[in-house]
Amino acid sequence: MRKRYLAILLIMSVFLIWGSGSGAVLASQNNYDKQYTYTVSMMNPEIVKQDPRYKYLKDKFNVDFKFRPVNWSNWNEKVRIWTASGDMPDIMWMGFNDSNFSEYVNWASQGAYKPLPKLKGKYPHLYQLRQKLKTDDYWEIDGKLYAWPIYMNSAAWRNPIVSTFSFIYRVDWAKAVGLYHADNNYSWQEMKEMALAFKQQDPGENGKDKTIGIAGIGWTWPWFAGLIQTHQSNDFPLKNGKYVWGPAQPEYLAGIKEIKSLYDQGILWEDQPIANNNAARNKFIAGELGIYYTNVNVGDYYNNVLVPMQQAQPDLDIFKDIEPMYVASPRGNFFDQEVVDYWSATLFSPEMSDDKLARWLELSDYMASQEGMHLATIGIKDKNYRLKDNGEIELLWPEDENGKPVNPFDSRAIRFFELTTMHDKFALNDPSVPEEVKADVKGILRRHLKDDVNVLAYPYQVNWFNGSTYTRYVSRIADTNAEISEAVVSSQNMAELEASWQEYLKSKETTVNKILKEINQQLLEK
Amino acid sequence: MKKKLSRTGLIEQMLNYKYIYLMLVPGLLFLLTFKYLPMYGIQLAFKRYMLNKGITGSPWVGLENFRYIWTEPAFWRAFKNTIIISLMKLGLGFPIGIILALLINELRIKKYKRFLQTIYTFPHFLSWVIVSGIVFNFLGNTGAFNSFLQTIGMHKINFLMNKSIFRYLLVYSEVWKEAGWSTILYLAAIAGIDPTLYEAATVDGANRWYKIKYITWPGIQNIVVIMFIMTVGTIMVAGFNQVFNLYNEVVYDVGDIISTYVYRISFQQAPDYGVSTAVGLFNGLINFILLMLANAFAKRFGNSGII
Amino acid sequence: MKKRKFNFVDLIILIILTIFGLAVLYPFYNAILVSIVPQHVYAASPFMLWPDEITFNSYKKVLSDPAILNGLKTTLIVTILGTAYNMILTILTAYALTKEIPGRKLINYLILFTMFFSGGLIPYYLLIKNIGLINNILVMILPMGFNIMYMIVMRSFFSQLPTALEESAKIDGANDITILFKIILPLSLPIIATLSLYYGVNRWNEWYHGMLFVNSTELMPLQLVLRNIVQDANKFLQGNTAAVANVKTFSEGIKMASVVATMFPIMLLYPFLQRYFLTGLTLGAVKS
Repeated sequence: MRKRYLAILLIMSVFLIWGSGSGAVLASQNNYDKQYTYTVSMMNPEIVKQDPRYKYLKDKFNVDFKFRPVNWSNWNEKVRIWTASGDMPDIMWMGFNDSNFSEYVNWASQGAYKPLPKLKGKYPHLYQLRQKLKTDDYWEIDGKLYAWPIYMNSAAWRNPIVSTFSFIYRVDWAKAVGLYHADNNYSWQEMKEMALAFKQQDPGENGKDKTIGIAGIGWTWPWFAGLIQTHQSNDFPLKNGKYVWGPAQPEYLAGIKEIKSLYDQGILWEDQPIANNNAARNKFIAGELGIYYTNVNVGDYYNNVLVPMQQAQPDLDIFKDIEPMYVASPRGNFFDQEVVDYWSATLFSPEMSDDKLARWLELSDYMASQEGMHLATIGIKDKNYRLKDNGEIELLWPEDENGKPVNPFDSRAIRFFELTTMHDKFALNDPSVPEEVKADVKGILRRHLKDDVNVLAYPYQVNWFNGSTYTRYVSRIADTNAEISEAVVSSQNMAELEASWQEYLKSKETTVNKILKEINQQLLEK
Repeated sequence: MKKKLSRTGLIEQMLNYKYIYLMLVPGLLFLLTFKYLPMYGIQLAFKRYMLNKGITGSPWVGLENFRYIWTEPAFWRAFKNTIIISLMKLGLGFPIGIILALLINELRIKKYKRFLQTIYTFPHFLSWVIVSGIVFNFLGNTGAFNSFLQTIGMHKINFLMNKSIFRYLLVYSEVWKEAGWSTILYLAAIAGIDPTLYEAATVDGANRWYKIKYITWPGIQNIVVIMFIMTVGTIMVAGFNQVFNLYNEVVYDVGDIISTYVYRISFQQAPDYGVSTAVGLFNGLINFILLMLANAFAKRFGNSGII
Repeated sequence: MKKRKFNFVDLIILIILTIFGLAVLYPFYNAILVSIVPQHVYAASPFMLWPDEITFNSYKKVLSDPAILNGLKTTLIVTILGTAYNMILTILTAYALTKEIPGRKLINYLILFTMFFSGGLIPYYLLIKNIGLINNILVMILPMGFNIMYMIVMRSFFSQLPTALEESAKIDGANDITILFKIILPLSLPIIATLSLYYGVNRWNEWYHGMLFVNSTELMPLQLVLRNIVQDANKFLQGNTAAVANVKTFSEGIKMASVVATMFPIMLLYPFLQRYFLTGLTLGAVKS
């Protein structure tokens, strides 16, 4: 192995010497004489390997990658056992948000990750991205940055960062049952009535009781069904000048009761509590579901909901028959919750040498530049697109029979190109996505920014709190979702639900009090 | 003088068995490497794991981890479920294999017997991954069974999310998968019974029941006891693969067992390795005691036991 | 036993056994049906006795992914090597422990101890890493040396064998190794066949070590591949490329097609295996 490297080195240096004679430009472009091979945790690695953009990047920076495959069903296990055993891949990708940011604090302060060098000057594009990040300061531990948060570049133009999460619904069915509102605005009660009508009148002709009223993308359960709308999902909200535990508040219980009543009335999909992420989506695509709660985030929404739906149901007009549905909360107001401006984080193994990390950061910096972002979204310069003299982009994508550009890249490879930054803003300009879809997404964002919407600010201070008691024990009270599922499905009536919820709260009391004491002491004194 | 003699006797004896000891080497080497080497990790039960300090350097916390599980309802829930599920499998599932074997043995039509055995034993070869896929497909809310119930005008049954059904689902799926297979051992033992015993009994005019009771049953008793001890010895295990592939959040109350609980606290967010090691240690201790009891029990009843 | 009349009790037994047989069989049959019907037939009624319409789209999609074939390859290697390794360790250990050697009790306890106590996940991972088994096919073989229960079964089988042959061989000057291979093993073929089958099944069904320690798609065992699909079939349902999009499928169909496809090798082998373990075991039991 070493011999081979030596040989490559030799050839490269000969090439360089020869090159420097013929022109300085070549030498400056090709200063990556040593090849680095990175191990990277990756989804769908076999698809990434075939991607021409991937090959382009490899050549450009003289790097190679060995992928460790992960997928949604083993990702949790793998990243944790790697970290805990000091066997991280060079580059690892892991989600840290709301409730498990403390995990980042714990691992980072135990030396699990390699800190990044100073970015200013050397990596201008990365530095610039970091300036935009709202949560920036929270990622630093003892003055060092141990992760590269994957910045969502759409965040900049939505302030507060409202989400694209929304109900979408079958307009054709709504019309069939006579409950359609042209402005897509509905009260909570109206949504419930519509879901019940879908189930009972069966406009989709699925057979008796087979049409599902409401269901959501798996991981938003149980929140989407009445909890964010009544309580909103803060674990530790500020109440009367003091931090309290969210689940112990009466409005939280009211939210669970709302979910329970939806579930018992058969409005909510009966399999929702145990459904995996995409199960409800498959039902919606198959025409068995009327109202679906999902992230209407252009690319994924178009490619993985609308397109398959059109194929499954050729008679459907996907642009007219499916619309976002704006539903007021049970309390009457419209709601949304601010989201964070990054999506997961890229971490680096402490075993990696500085030079090796530096090469990756150069690659990252390129990916954060204009050209790098173009690479991730529209492809290779002068091959997939051309820059006109006035700076405009001329797309060189293939076209379908209608003259519409076709995205030449497999969308499942995207995770590799989003290790530095998330290109969700591009989706709104993606020429392969129909204008109607973009309009829907913009519509949702616009709706969420209207005055009548109560946007709950993201509780950065608490969710990113790094007190020692909090970071150590907060995961012990993180099983509320399971408890809600159980209470909703298994309780015979509201009294039983309340009793089992109280019992759960009681079992967590000691831990919660420890945490609250610390939060209140440290955060309120500041 | 006497002592010295016995020592040389011992060495001599051991030399006599040198090839036997040689045979033990591969097995012991395996145990040493994969079982005993990692056992230094047990100290984590009394520590708080810090990555940068390593297992041996992590700070001691005394009995804190044990105190935590002592007061943690989720642990006791898992503990209780493990025992209940195992006992249910032992009480309901274990006899089915024996009864099935006796019935198969009584079946007269040779070819049909062979055919049925083919069907019965097949599921054993499938993993719980496959079986869970089949169970979900068959017993799910929109599965074949519920569809059948609806066709005949009955209400659907939510098998996978019903707390009062889930444990029976575990027993049922275990029987479905393993009962046929467990008959093989019993049938082999039955086949080993001296046929002249049956012939003599027939001459004496003994009926079917009499033969089962006085010839067949004593013939398989030994293997039944061994199987019984083995099952008791795994009471605290209760079948990780099965439960892990079949359970869900809604039925944690009745279905979460120690091994799945340990899995979750080791892998889900912010894993606590001190606590999970403590749970493992505690569980092993209980299991060990149970096996010793079962073994002593078997010995008292004249069986050789397993130790 | 001479022919007897088929009486009422026989009929009852026949009926009970037939019902149990159907209960075992139908879920399989249904899984196969789901894998070969199009979505609308499945949606109309998942309870089927006969497929109203047949399509092999689910299979086309599942088998177009190299994962299942790769998994099959890995699993075959693991099963063959692993079973051989398991049997060698089991036979040697079990036979040695039938002898009244000094320290036998201690060894018995040492073995039993490992059934109940383990160091936990992290030291185990570190060990696997340090001996170079991460992402190595041997990680699904070496750590599964012998199953203590199976070893005990083997041991009790050995100890039931008549000792006369052994003793006369000893007098002829044969050593223990020769005795084991020349005398004991030929007598033990049925139990060897049975335990090999037991081990073979366990190795075939391996996914846990694969999940924790295998870091490449090519080395994933079959059951892990299947588990990933059963957990989430959307790998086959999503994506914008024409190849993915043009074949019409649904997630239950994909899942059941994967289940049936991974069952298929066993279904093929099964009749041969079955003949062997049933007759072999019965014969052996009669002989001993």
